[in-house]
Amino acid sequence: MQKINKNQVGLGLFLKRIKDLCWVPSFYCSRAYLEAVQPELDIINGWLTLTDEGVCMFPPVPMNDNVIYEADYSKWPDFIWSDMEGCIMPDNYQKEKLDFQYLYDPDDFIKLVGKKWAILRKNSKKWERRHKSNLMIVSWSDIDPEEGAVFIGEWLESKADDFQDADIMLNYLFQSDGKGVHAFCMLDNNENIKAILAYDTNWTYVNFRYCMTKPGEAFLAEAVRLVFYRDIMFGKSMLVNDGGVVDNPQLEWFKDRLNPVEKKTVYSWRRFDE
Amino acid sequence: MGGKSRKSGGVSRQLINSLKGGNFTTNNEEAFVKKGKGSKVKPDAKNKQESSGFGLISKED
Repeated sequence: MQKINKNQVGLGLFLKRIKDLCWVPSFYCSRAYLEAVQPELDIINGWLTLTDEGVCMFPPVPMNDNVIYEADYSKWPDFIWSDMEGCIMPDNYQKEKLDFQYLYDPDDFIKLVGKKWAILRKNSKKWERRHKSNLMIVSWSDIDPEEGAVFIGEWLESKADDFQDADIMLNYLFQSDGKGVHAFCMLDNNENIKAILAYDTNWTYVNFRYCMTKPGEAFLAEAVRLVFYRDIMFGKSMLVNDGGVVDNPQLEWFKDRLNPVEKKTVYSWRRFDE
Repeated sequence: MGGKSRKSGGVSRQLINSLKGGNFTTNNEEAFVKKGKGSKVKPDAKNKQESSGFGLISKED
């Protein structure tokens, strides 16, 4: 196995090859997210791999087309964490469900037309009415980072064991300058932080990466989602990939009720002995 | 939102307490460093944008 310097090849080539191969990028396949993860890049028999915590993140990517024609999968890792649409896996791998990916059309949230939007139409107004406040959008870079940290700490505490990879989220938010991270806060009329949210993009989707809302405030999640789609996503022609549900039934219920244009299943793949 | 983990274990109590104390990380949990207040400014009215439903519009107050 030839180890390569990340700076020599870089995430850019990895992502470019995926785009060239016309694979549909998963939620995890964005420069901004991968910069926060800082995975290890290797080349194995012409296949580019990204490894994090000892786990191969994606199907190995052929450095060039000759690698595809040779079709030598013998050195592929035994386990691949997240597949991508368009990538054909070798026959001796079997899939296991990893998570879902929810795709939303921002235009739907501007219109909110039709019976299926009645609940969100109603619920998204409740927070502002109850608190007699609007939600103001402020760039994350304009927030005192200590204030941001306190909010995130309280939010993580409210999630107990339901949230995963907090370290990656902190890298993403606190080391995000110029790396494709678009992060915002929403404040109430008294300038208290009510939400922190962040997105990034790849060549196919906007990835709605994080959305933290003040714990214990009913209908705030709906209000924040609506502002995100109506204001922050306004004018964007891409669909929004809102990621999955991390085995959380309540989150699945919530995302189902936001009327996704598509709910995809993402798979891990494991080699089996033939 | 977020993503499914490639490793086991949830969020540590130490990390939560550190964040609630206003500390934020530079690279990993061990590298938490207390930053002085005022390194970033509190937003003033000019930086605020009000939800309009039709794109971001600067608040005029």
